[in-house]
Amino acid sequence: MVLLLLIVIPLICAGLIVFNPREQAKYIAAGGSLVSVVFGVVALAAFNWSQGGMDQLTFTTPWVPALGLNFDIGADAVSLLLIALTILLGPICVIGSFTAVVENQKTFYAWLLILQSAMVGVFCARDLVLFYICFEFTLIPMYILIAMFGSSNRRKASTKFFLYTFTGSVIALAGFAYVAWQHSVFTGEWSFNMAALGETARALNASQQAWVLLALMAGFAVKVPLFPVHTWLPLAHTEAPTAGSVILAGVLLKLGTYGVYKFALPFAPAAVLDYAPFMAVLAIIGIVYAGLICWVQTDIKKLVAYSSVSHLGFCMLGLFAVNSVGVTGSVLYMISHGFSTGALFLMIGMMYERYHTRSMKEVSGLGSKMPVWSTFMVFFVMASVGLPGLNGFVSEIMCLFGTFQSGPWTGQAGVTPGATFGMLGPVFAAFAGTGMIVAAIYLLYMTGKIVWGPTREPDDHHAHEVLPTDLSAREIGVLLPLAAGCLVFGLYPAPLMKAVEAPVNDTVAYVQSLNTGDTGRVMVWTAAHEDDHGSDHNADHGDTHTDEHAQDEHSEDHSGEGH
Amino acid sequence: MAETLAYLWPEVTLFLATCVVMVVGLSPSAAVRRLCPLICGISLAAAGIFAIGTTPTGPEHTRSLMPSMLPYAKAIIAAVGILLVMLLAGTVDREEEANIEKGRTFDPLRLNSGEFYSFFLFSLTGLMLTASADTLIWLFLALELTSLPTYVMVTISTARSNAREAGVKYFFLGALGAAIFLYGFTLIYGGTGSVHLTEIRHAITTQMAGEGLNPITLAGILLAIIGIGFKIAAVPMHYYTADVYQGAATPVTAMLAFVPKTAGFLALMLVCSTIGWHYGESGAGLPDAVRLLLWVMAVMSMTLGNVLALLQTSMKRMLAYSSIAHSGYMLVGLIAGPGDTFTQSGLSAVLFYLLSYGVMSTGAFAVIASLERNPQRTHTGELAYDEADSIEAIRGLARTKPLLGWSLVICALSLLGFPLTIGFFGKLPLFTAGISAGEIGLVVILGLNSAIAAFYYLRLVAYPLFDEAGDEARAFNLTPMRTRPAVGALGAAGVVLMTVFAGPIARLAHNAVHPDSQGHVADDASNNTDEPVAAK
Amino acid sequence: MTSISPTLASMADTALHVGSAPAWVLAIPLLPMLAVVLNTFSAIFRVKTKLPAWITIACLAGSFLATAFAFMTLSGQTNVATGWKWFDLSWGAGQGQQFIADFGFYIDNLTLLWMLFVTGLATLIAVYASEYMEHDVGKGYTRFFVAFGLFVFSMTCLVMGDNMLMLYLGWEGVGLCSYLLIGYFYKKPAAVAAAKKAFIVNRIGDLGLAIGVMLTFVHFGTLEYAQLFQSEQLAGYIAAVLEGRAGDVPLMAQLIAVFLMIGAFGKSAQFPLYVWLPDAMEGPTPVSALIHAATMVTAGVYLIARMLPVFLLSEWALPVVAWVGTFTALLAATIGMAQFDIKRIMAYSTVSQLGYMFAGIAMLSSVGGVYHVVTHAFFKALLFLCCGAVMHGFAGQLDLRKLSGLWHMKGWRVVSVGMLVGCLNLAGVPFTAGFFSKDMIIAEAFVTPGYGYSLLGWTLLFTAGLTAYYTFRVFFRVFTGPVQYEPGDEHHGEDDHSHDHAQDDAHGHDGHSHEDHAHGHDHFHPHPPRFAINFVLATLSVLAVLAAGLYFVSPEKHGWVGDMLEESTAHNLYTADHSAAAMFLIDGDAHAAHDTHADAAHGEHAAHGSILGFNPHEVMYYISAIFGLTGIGLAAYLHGPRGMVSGFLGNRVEAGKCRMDAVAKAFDPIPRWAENKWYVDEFYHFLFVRPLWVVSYIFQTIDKLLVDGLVNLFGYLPRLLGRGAQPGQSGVLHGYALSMAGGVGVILFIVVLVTL
Repeated sequence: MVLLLLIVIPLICAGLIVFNPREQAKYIAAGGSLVSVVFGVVALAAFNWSQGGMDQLTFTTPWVPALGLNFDIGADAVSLLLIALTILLGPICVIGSFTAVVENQKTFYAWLLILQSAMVGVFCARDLVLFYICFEFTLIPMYILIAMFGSSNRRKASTKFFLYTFTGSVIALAGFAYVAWQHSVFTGEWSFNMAALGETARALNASQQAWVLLALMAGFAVKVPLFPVHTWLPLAHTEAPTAGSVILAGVLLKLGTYGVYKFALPFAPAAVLDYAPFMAVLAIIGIVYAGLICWVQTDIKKLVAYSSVSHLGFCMLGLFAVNSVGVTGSVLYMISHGFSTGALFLMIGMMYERYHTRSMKEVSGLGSKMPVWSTFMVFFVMASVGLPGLNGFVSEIMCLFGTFQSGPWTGQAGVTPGATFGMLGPVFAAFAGTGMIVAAIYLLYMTGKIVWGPTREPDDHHAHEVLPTDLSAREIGVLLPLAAGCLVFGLYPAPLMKAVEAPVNDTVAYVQSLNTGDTGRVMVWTAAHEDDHGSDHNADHGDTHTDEHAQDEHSEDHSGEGH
Repeated sequence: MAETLAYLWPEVTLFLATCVVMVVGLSPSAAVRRLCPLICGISLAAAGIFAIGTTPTGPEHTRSLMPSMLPYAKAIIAAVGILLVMLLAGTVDREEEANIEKGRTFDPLRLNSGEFYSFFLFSLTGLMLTASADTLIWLFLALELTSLPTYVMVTISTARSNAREAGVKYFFLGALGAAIFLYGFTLIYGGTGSVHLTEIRHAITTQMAGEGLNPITLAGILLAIIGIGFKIAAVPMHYYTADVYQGAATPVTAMLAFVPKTAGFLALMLVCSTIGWHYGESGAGLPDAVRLLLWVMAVMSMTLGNVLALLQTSMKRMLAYSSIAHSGYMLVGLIAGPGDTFTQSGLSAVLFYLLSYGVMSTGAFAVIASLERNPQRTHTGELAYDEADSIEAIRGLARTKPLLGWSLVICALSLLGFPLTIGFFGKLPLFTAGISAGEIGLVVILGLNSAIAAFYYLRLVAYPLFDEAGDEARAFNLTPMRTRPAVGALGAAGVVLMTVFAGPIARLAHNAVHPDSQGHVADDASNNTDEPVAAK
Repeated sequence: MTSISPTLASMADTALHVGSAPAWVLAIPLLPMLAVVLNTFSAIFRVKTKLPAWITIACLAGSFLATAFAFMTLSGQTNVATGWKWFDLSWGAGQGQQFIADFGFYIDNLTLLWMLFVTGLATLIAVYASEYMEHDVGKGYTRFFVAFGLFVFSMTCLVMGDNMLMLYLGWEGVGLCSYLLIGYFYKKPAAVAAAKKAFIVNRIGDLGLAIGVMLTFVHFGTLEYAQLFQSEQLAGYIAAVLEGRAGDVPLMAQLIAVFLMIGAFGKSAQFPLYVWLPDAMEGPTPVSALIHAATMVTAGVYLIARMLPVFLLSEWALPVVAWVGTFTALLAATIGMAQFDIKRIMAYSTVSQLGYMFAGIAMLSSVGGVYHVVTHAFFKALLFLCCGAVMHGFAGQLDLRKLSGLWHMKGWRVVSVGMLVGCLNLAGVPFTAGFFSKDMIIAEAFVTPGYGYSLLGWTLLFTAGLTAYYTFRVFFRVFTGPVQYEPGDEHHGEDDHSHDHAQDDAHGHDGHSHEDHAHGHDHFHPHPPRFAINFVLATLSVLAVLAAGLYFVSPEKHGWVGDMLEESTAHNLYTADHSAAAMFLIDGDAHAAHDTHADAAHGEHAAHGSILGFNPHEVMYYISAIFGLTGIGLAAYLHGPRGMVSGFLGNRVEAGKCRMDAVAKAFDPIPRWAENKWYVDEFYHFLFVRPLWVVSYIFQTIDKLLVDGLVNLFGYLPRLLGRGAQPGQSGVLHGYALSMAGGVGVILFIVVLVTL
């Protein structure tokens, strides 16, 4: 019920804003988002953290029963943490925009609130179609925020953002529909219930799972974004208003990784295992490639935008490591990235409000001009670099650890106690690890330009009429929770790890369980030369709908990969 | 006969109203003349109520292939018809009425209202009759009754010359289409020896059980399908669409987008039902040839419709091409055929989609119809208003006319199939039904086409919302006919509100095709309040 | 083999006992953290006094006292003090199914040893800095001390952390503080660049460390020292190595050390990752003294010392370390000889001395290596602080060509004496601490069998001579001779704004009192250090001298350090079988020749190697003394002032001119190349930075044109398709009719063709 409130409260406030004749939009929005925070705290308090499964804080009511669609929400620890992140960023975005948005305030704040509802909806949906509805619906508010409140190239950016992500997710919908159909074939019931469909999907044979994975990834990889489908992001980020960027980086990208975590892994574990190296390579390319691109940017917002591509690569890597450390790292990464990168976008916004430029060529050396701003900037840069003791490190190192662990160790049974079953390994971790160096290069390059060095201001710069030279109390107040979050997260992440342990281990178990028994399909990289390993797929999955042709094809895939 | 009449009450009602309107439209009293649309509306409402209330029972209706479909089909026809009539109200005779008001003497010869509204009702009567058809002859007549009045309506809808051109094109090409499907019908008769749909079905079943489908029957069915393709504007019978849609006055365009398409799909469902969906590899599909034909038509319609719509700067042409694409989507449902549940039944998906498409496209056209400018004399000396057509006309609409602007935005999003609009719930069962029928490739093409469609629908979202109204946009004013923006708003509201009630509607749509599976669906909906229609 | 078995047995028996430390030891890390927190509040409340310095000094002194107390009460034991759970994750109950790293501290002798000099020196240097940084009071002063405190905190985490992730936390934490402090004068582009360089080069090493840590975890299933060093797996490997079955150790276990080594190279500025350290001298001098000379840069040595059992597993790691260390020592010394900036000379000397430490520890003289760490910490800190005092007094002047005769100037005597003490130590003059510690290392090179280790020994000896030369080059030129000086650039010109008053824009001209005499040297008066600096210099001088005494404490264990290390977990595993452990470095066969036991004394070692036929341990004192004194003599000859030893040795009469000039001319261009650091930086720039930059631009272009272009192309395809279909929409009626009929024909044809 409290989750329902978290969805409804922002909507009500949005309604109030729209129908209130007076210009009180920002105060209503701030109030609404703060009330949400209160209820968020209630949700956190009411939650039993030791339990896995999306069956807490539930609320269910049929919606379109004929479609098997229910308004069915609930949360597990991962969802709830992401919801908490969402509603924490709510007031930060609202209050952070007080001076930045002067025109069309009603529209801005109303859509911001609606966006929050949609995002909460994504994270707590237990019904695939409900998930999809919310997932898709986030596009509209974001589209409007970018297109109406963005900078010069906003139309192109928003359109690209919309079309790109829409295209991907339509295919994901086809994947969902496919699983739902298989479910009805198995059980005779048509349902979009996440848990039920998960079971069905896992029972599919490997080639079917591969198609499911492909379809789902089409939707989620774009959102993450994974190389090479990332090109919408720098554009959208650069053009979006500050609050939009914060939400985009903080939460919207996480819809993709959450999707992978929540659907790709549990729905297609066998395929995930098969394609993990491929996905990991894409993720690593993203890490290094986007990182290097960051280095040559002059627009700091674009730089930070590309850095998201790089960072989310780690997140994907952790997911496809499919072990507890990696997936936990990924989940923590989703949250931690929201803090540090969200904060960086806020910082850039604050600078932009004062100087109306984001080019490092025009503004630099703000250290003496804006010491408070600079202090925060360095702090968040360090969080983003992954400095131990701050949030970035915890998640990043866990993703790397997970990647490292997951690999060809199993062959040395008993010799490598810290290893887990998976398809990645040290080489992947080492290549991904270069991302840590690259991150240091580009982020310190940016800091060196924008914070340190001789002060330079745009020629036509004159003092902002509302804002002080350095940060105002409101702005500091917006940044402090994030900074505190980064610090606490970095120094005491153990409760978070414990919190997500149950659901993560459940998810991981789907994949890791493929290691047990006589499936034979799993030891691909060791048994690739054996020709007969594909033959016993069926037995294990009990799948009566196996397409023999696809089956053969799949075993070929295996041997291809193995060699 | 009486039994047959029992489920023809809606048609009868509409026919009677037609007669009344024809007379009333010629009344010397302006106040009485203005009653025409109202009478249309009332009659449609009555027809709708009759449709819901009159469930065909008894032996007679077994001749109808899909008797259970009638209440639903006629009800949605009536509902969208009401929207359409609100939109059509005031379209014709605008100048003459004004002149009369200024003192010109009443001359029935100068007025078109009577014909216009009665033709509209005729067309809807035909549409309902299509649903009720139980013989090929009836089907042919009903289809033609649907179409013929629209040819005239297109022509007289506005004084602009391209309306005439459109009318002529529409008429000739329509005749071509009719010829093709009529030829198909005769071949079917030749192949099966009957004009009764139930008997044809029986004959085909026998043929299939024996030596396979008689080539003549098959040829007849293929030709019938292609010919009816004209009504739904499916490729390759789509050529007229853009020109006619653009040429007609926008309210009539809105009508063209719904009425013939619905007739066409009802007819296609009937024709396909004669074969049934129990052939092919899966044993639950159409015979290969028919399936292939529909498959090609579906893919071509979706794709060509969308890619051509992409290039348009005229909104009416854009919506025309998008209407082709939507037919393509619905053909997926037709290919998928019936199924146990709503999600697996392509036919119920089609019925559901017809309603949602009717509401959202009418809403979108209504917004466009609400904008006009520049009354000018045509070469015949009549007064013609420039309708909003170029996409430039809607720049900044959400700021200058928020209600209209947002209505257009919502309807466009629905046409795109965006979640939280009925368009999404319309498209989703097409997805699931297609996949259930094993047509995964088709569904992927459908998905990709939705994405392509986003390119141009997004313009209908972006232009009103984000742009400043340019000179061209500022030249457009709100039309004095207040029902038009109201229809736009109603459409938008309907698009959103129907999502809330999508469940009951979906169940009605499903029961319409699958009366036997009520129990199953009712299980799903155990805690839902609506009773199945049949029980009433 | 039989001789080894008892040792192994005893090792198994004396399995590491890990107790839990009393809670007060947490004060050691937490007091510096407290200083950081309090100073942060000072910053928030914009304190304009020296309060931050006093807070820092008090907290660090407290931390030092706590360490000392811990040393007295806990020495010889191994204890763990857990603060709180940091990483805590489990996915099963079995071994290696937990991912746990506490925010906890591991206290054994190695830690205590390290923490004693870290906190002690930090306290002293904080006192020094309180005066040194006073020109920045109310501006960067607080920032300085925040970073300073944070550094000490990070250092405690690095040294005392009870697991490898804590080590990593400290490792990167000190890197951050180093970054912040090098870039302290952030208006100077050089300082910013140096800070960035330090961080990035360190990150390269950090990646190695991270991989090493991950490998350790995967291989041993734990990150915690206590578990790691107790693990049977490790004991088994070590046993295998000791028995000459090094091949039994899996490759992955051997690789751990290799990767950890890379981390150590980065942090401890070894070739090829040393390039950041000389540039790091852009930071304020106390920072150079504390971080870039005494403490942080020894972290690599600590890492190897701590992980020595793991390093022993690898056939390559230690030899590579030895070679790299020696090479670095030589390379840095040659560069140091040719520099003119005294701080930079000290920086290269630090790199060089770190090379010694690495070589020592790699040659299995971890006592020598660690002892050198300790002695070096004192004398190098002393040297830097003296240089800093000079710099402070002469407005940033560091060029030895522009300074002369400080010994004779009023108020500079403490500095001069301190400098002399430091130089004597560094030059390895007999009976100084530096002499003993260096000798231990060099002697081991001849003792320990290894690939070409005796060559390394001679190289180290030669380098010792070079060290003595460049050390006294500084001393003779700056402190002796005629009194001459030129102020540095902090005195005049607009640069002043950027350096001295880094944060000062708001303060207007108040801070620019010296602007009146901005453009003349005439008005310049050097200001000699006051009490705080002199006090610290004096204390450090005394300590540097006293450090020699440590050599004579428990000589049977190679001095106090040996005594300390013997008790530490990292050490006893192999001192137990010193030579046997060493054997695997060469080959298993030679092993039988060495009958060894735990309390190996000098005599035993004689069997392993010799220098010119003598026992290295006995003759090394003399040989190294000869090298050292020769170096000093050379320095005196080339740079000494006139009048020194009757004018025979030196002939320098003014600051910038001496015999060396002629020599340098004769050997041109070698001295010039050396002055330009052998162009290593340029080489790196050319080889790595520039290509990477180019690649980045290429990537950006690819992203824009190819990746995005492809996406746009896909977006454009439908449009293209539309354009293709558009001609069909001609608007001509009969065209339509024909098209329809044709379409019907075609579609039926397709249907017939496919289905029949």
